[in-house]
Amino acid sequence: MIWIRHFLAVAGYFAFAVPFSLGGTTWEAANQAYQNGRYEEAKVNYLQLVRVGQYSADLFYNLGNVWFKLGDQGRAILNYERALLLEPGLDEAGSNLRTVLKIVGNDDQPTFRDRIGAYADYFPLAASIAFWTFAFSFFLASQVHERSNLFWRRLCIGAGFIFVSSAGASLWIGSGAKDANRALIIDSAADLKYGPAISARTVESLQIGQPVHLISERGDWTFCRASTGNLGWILTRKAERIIP
Amino acid sequence: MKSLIGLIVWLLCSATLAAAETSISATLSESVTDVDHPVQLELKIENARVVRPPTISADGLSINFAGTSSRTQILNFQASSITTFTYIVTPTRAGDFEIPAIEVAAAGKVYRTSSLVLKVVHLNDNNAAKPSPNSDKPYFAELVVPKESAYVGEQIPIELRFYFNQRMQYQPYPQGQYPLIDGEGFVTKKYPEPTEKQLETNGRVYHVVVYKTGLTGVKPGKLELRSATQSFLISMPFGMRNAPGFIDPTEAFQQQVIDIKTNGALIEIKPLPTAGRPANFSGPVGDFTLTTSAQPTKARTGDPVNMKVEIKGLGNFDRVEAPILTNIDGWHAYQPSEDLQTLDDLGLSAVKTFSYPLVASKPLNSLPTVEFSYFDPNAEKYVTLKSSPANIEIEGDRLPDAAASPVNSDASPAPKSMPPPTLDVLDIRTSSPVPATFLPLLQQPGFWTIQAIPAGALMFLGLGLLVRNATMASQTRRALAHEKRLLWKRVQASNNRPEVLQAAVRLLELSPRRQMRGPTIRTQSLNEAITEEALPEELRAEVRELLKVKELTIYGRVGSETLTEPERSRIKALLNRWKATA
Repeated sequence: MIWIRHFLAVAGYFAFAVPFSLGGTTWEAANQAYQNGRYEEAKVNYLQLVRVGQYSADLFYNLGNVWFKLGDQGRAILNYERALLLEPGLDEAGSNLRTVLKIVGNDDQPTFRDRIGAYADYFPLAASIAFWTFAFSFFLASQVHERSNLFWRRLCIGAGFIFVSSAGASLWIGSGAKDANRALIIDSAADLKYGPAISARTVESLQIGQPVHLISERGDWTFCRASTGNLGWILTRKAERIIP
Repeated sequence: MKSLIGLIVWLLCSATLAAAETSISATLSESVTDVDHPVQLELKIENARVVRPPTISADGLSINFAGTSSRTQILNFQASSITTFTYIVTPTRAGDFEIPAIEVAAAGKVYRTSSLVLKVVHLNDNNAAKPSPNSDKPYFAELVVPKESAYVGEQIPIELRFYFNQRMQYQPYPQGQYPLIDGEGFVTKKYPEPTEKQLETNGRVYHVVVYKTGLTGVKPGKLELRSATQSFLISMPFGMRNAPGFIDPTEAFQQQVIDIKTNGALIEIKPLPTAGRPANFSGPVGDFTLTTSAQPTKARTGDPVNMKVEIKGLGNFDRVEAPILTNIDGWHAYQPSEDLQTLDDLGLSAVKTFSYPLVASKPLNSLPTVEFSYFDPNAEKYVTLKSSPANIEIEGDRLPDAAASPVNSDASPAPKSMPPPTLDVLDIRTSSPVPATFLPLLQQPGFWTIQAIPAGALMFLGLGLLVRNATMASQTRRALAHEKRLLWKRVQASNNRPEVLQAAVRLLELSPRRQMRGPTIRTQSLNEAITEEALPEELRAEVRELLKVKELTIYGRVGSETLTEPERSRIKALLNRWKATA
């Protein structure tokens, strides 16, 4: 039995302690490299953290800054979007995203659905809170036969209304910005083509930072829907999924 | 009804067609040819109705209209139409010719194509158009090289022509295989798909498969192209005994794989001169033009302006790098993006566009200028193209910023007192990162686990209520049963008449005949029970008698204080009957 205990202790150490200690040192090393202007080194360190799955809004925000410093505005935009996806209230990421979009000349305004999609997780949360408030207030309204009964009834109606609205909005938005097939154009000269070939006619030219919805892949080409609603093919390397 | 549907369809089609944008473009099938070979010019007009082909003319070229084709398609509910006018361009002499921009009027607007360049060369000794030695063979090949000498880096368009007798069937073997050129000291471009045509050589008509590519010498000296070889799977009549053009249906064919070799060629590759080489020369060799434009033409300081630099012409575009910006005082320029649009199959003739994002830090009225250097092999000298400073209107306040421009900062040093501003990003975050997940909330197990807490609490509350109600109900029942037992004891044992009468009436009250339905469910009172129709008349009279006696005894002090046994028996019998009818 003792060897089992030892095995579990060692496994536990590697499962929890090693990734965190690795993350800690790499994070600090990456930040240090960035502040000393060694952007390539910082990029490698940040990407290592991404690879081990230590996702955080700060990590993607910093990675966006590194890509910007390295002149890759497409990937900078992508990583700012990722940071905002994890933390919609991260003002620095929003500000930097606007700056880079301005630089690449992308002045497309997000649609109403896209704007709401950034808060897709808030709707099921609101629906859940409203549902339980409804359930408890309904229970109390049926039990209390005093003056406070009116309060519980009103609370029950209000919570019920919020639950229905939030659940409806959640169904409409779905995963929103966290949709696994949502991608951004990260390279210039990305043309949406009628067919999976360079020689095919162009449906429209897509700008850096423009969102697309990936549908299927064939070889080097991906069939997708642009934010304008047009369907077509783009070179797979021109777009990258927002969810890494 | 049919006409109404037709009208709706027509309106829909018109609406979608009207929404599509009109564009025109012109392309040449080849950008380099020789005097004897005409090329094809295609003028494509998208999403506009043009019936008459425009007249095109250029000095040194005979351009004749050859035909029209049109196509309409609807994709993704977007209708588009393409009208193609085809012209045959026949050179009348060797030289470099420019076909000017073609103007087409459509829907009240005038659209212009970009101008095209056609290089016409004389065939020379390298050209193997000497069919006499091959004239008797059913198949042969030739390598067509339009030049005897070229500079390092200069692209030489070459053709590999494979001639086949009209009666032969042939196909490249294996399929998709391209010819191999034997030699060293050169690189070639990727072959486009071969074209097929009929050519008359030495009085005979042949099917010709033409492979085109661009060849570039990489080092100075004699470049020897020994031959080019391509394998074909051919089907040929045994003996090829019939006269050309005569088809014998009984004729048998033999199939075989053959390697066909072309002749060789010798090209002298000259080094690029070092004298007069501009400092910013990056290796382009050819003939180019430079144009610049900016969008928007009116902006405020700090706003981005997109400056487009178009380099167009004939040459090695892979060596065309982003031109240097000069006079960038007050401007901050970022790394440009680039886009290459080829104007022929080989990509020798093309337009390379560089888009510079610029930001002005102070009010200005002109764009930065651009310098681009290349080597012109015809003039045999270096040429530096400079754009004229285009007008632009930048208004607003001077922006305070101290960072240097990341692009071409060495080309035109900014004044030290006021370096050009930069659009930079906010600094990184160094606090410990808070782990997060990209999983949507509904797919996170934690979300559903947390739902168990209020669900459990609600179940607990419901269960508690159930237990409390059950407990309360049993207490009432127990108390009632206890009271009944006491009253019965009193009725059976007590000799105090008022007490027994009161206990009997109370027992009647505690044994309701049924429950009354109303706004709430309640127990039937004794008076209600007495007036009930279903109660036997005799029993009703006895109960009323009992009530009356009880009131007289207790409140009127009438009758004896002591209960007699017969009266006790009557009361007990009444109570039992009451209970029995309940």
